[in-house]
Amino acid sequence: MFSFLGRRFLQALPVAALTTTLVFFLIHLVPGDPVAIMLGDASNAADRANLTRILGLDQPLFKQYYTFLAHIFSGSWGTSLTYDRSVIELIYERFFPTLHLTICALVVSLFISIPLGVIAATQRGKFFDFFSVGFSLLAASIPNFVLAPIAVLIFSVQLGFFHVSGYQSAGDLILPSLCLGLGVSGYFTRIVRTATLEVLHEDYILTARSKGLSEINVLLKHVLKNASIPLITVIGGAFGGLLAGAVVTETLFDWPGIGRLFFNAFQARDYPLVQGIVLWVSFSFLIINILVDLAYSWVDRRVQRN
Amino acid sequence: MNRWGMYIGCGLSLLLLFLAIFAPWISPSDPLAQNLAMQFAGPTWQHPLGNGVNGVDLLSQLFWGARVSMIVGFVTVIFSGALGLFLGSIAGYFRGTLESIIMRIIDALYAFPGILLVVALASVLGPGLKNMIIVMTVTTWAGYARLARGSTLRLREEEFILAAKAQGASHFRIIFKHLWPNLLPLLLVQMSFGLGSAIMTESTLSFLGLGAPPETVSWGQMINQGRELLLVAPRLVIVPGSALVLAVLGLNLFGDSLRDLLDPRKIEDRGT
Repeated sequence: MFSFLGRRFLQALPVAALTTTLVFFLIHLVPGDPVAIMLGDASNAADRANLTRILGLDQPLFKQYYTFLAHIFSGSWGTSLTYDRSVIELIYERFFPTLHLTICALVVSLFISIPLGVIAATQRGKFFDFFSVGFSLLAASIPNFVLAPIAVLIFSVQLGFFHVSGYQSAGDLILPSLCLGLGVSGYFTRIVRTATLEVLHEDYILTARSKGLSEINVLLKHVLKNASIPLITVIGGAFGGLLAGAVVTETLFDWPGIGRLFFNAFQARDYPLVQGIVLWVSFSFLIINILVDLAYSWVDRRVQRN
Repeated sequence: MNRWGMYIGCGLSLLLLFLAIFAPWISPSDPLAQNLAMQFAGPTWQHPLGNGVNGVDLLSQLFWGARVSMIVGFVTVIFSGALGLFLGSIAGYFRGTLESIIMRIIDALYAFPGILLVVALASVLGPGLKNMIIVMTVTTWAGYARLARGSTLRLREEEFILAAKAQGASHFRIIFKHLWPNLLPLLLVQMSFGLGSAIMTESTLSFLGLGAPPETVSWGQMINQGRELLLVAPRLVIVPGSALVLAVLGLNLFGDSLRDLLDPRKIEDRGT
């Protein structure tokens, strides 16, 4: 297992290097003078020159790249302009609320999609199947910035079940994670349903049934495990999508996570912070994908041998 | 499901296309015309969906929003599809260093999850329709390129390509005359899904204030405005929100039925 992990980490290194380089170039894509844009039109020349020097934009490109890498390896990741603190500190403070939110959203979507997909496949062509296909199509078409305001209006404002915004208690996780996870659950439902339909035709299911196993046992012991393999392959991507989608959800729910920090950062044109968050989220995404590969080889032993 | 999905998908997509093309002629009034006396007024004969902030006509805004979504969506999908087809097919056809370079760029783009790179690039370039199209093209061509490369790898070993080579056809001729016509159906299916997600992305960017500039109307922008006024007039979110959901749903259903039409194997395991 450790050699597998080590190999995957080594494979991830060039991707991480490319990602870092792309993120470094972000600030150079700003049309015109990034410093003038950050400080606004009313700024004076002395302030601009000062900020240019602080950001190192007066240095040659390779020197800037070196400084950028040095910041990353030294663990400060640069300094945020709006907060005047190290980028990594700001991210670290906000990362756990985001992690809670995305994990809850993932759990919610699995709880919705696995039963829905499995039952739909066993009831193929009947009402419940139709319902599940309809649900997965609709869920994938509702953006969270449409769903969330309406859900807040109904469940928080009118019915008073939840706080309107913020993260004070675990209960505050319910509404944002439902809103964030719904789109993914539509996607998952579809995958579970197709995978279950395929597994149901396999010989070992026929064998299990002919041994006299009850239908519930066949589903839980044989179908579910094998049908979950295609699901695991897409979980990494879906989790990354949730992390990125948190920008919108966190802004809507005033969530103290990196999604909202990102929103504040690009609104204030705090480019060092924008770069830091993009890098952090893509590194997290790399690690998640390695963990998913590990889970995959654990569920499907055939993969490990290759 | 198949048949009904196809009807609903085609119907909604055609409606969206119709609204986008004819918005300037069928809108009851100027979408940006303000009428402070009518602010948040309910539906009337003159304004069938009522009025929004500063009394703008919601129905006209809805029509013009469809136009912006479709312009950005169509242009993005065509640009990124063409770029993906070109780079993916030459990567798969010529192999070698060229392929490695193109594939590493694709890997790098896939290293950014979901809408992260889109939002980051849009925040750097600033709002505007042109910038939105650039950002979305740059971040979505990789999907088409992967598809085109994968199919090219399979096709280049097929007999008709080998026959063309044996006849002494030039690379250009093989790619243009033999490869592309076979890649196009696959790409078209992908592009119809791409249109749905481009519209979703456009609205997300506009919602975040990174997309449509203030002087153009966009559904995402309408939702962002309406969200602050949800208690005053929930219509301001529900109207553009439903339009967006129906548009994306319609285009996804359309993509599904297109895929079923072009790939008969899929019909079986989709069922019902």
